[in-house]
Amino acid sequence: MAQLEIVNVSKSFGKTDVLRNVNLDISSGEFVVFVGPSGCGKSTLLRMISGLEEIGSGHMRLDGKAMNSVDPARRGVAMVFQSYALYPHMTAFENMAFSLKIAKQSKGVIREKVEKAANILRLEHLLERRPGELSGGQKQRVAIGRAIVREPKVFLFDEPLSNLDTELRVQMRAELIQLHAKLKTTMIYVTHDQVEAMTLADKMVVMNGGVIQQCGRPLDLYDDPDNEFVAGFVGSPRMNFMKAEVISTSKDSIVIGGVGGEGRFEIPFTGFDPAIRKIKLGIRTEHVGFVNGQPEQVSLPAKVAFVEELGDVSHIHTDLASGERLVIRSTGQRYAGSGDCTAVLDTKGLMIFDEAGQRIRPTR
Amino acid sequence: MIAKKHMPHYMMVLPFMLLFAVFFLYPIASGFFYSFHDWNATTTTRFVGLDNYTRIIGSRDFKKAMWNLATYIVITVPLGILVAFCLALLVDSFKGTWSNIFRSAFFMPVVLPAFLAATVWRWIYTPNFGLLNMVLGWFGLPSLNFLNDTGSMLYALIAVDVWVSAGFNMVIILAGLKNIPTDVYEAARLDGASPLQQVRYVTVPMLYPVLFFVTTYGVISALQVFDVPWLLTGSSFASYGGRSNALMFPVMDMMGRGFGSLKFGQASAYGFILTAIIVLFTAAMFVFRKKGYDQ
Repeated sequence: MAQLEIVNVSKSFGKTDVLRNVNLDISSGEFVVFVGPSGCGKSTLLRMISGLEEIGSGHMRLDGKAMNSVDPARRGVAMVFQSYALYPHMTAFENMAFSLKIAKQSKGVIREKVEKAANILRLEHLLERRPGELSGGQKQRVAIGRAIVREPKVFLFDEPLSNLDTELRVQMRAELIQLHAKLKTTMIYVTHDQVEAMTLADKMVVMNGGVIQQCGRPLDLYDDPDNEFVAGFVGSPRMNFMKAEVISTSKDSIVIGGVGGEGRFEIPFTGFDPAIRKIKLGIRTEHVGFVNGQPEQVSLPAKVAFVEELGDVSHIHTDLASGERLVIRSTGQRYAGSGDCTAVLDTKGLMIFDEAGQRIRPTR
Repeated sequence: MIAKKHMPHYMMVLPFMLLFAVFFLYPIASGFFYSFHDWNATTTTRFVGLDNYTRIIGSRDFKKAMWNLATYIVITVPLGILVAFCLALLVDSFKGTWSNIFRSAFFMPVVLPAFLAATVWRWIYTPNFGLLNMVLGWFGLPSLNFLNDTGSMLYALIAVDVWVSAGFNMVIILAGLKNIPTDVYEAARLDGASPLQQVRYVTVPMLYPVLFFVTTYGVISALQVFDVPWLLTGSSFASYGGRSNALMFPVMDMMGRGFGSLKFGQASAYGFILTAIIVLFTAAMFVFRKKGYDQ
């Protein structure tokens, strides 16, 4: 187990800034997931931790020791690649034993460590097979086994489940959670899939444009995002956003207009800055419904565009008068019908963002 | 009915089949016929049975040519591949323009006509004024007659052929290198493998199919070696093979018997002996090939 500190780390490729002043503390034994869209710098950050990519500027310390110029093999990290990166000419056993062979460990030690890892990953019967004779899930388990035998301080996973089908991905996710519980080693995992991030992470680091947007427990990020990007990225279906205008403010509430076209209503909000006029409202799909009449709800006329019927839940995509899209999550009725409807917003679930996309929180 | 239905198909393959029959099957068949006959292209043929074959196999020139060939293959093929492999690694380590410059430079000898390559090397090997002897002179070493000293002639030829073939093999190996995913090397780096260990445990095994092709192709080409030693020695049917036949090779011997001594029956028989050797070599290489792995 190891503690990792990333201090003011930046990285550029030519004139392109890939990472800008990244600061992050990863505690011992934590399962941290870097999540963000393609090109956000998450894989580059992981590769810098592994030592495969040079650190542009800033510092990286593992258990207090500077890692900037330490050779990848001596950092005490092991990496699982998206493509598995297994040696195709070696058997599963030889793949897992390779690092130990290079380290000139005795045959007995190598066999013991490989068999122990194979036992954890239920790979015993596959040890004599070559990667070409293994399925995607089995290959990934061998890749994880190769990392385990090195007994690293930190495991690094670079989108390891992206090449697997949905069913296998769910199964492997569960296995990774169990593996983390068993090994209790620090794990850093990169993915662009926010569902994967939310199910795996102790700490989720949302990145965009080479900058950490927010980090924290997955549900904290879901419930209390710092900005429009995090609010939109975390959660599926993504949060609904509607432009609005502040008409008047008082100590404990604000009156907003132009919501979804002509919508005008008052919402409770303490300490709103009266200088701010143009805002964006964010509301998650579960806070929008069809049923009217409850005290903290306001309604907007909408037109059903299409419906995703998933069985237990339906996502009803509606168009507001402003042309904005409002997705409603419906668990009560399996078929939403079509045509005109009335969308009902639960004002408790409303979040307010400024024009730059930063969250405006009420003062306490 | 069926023949009529397929007539357009037969018509489409007919031009190729005609050319194949005239320029491939007929020469093979007539060569096979002449290999059992005594014929000098002007007189009528005389059946001699296996006499041509036994005469060739029993001749001193054939034995010398075979010995030269064996020595030549054993040195040229592995050395050529080793040089090509090192050049490919070097070119692969460069990016962009430098990679293109080196690749083009190393490939140049391949596109050079054999005549030109041999002429350049004859000049390099020239006693007294040649480039190589000039370099030897700088170190105070005596001048050598590389193309007339029986001890050095074969090695002089090997140097030329390694130089000529390296570019071609390098391009093939380079293509193989480009096919090895970067992340396998990264995994090896994280596993603690040094650059040399990466070459040994990752590059070479993953290049196995490419190296097998290059070796097979190299052996087949080497078995037919003719032009460069021909050009380095007399370059005529009256004088070839160099001093003491130090650069006598089977194809050269075959050509000499045919166009030099006008013994076309023997030349044909020689051709079939050589073909049998090439087929045997190639078959043996495939038999001994390690079972490929599924990439």
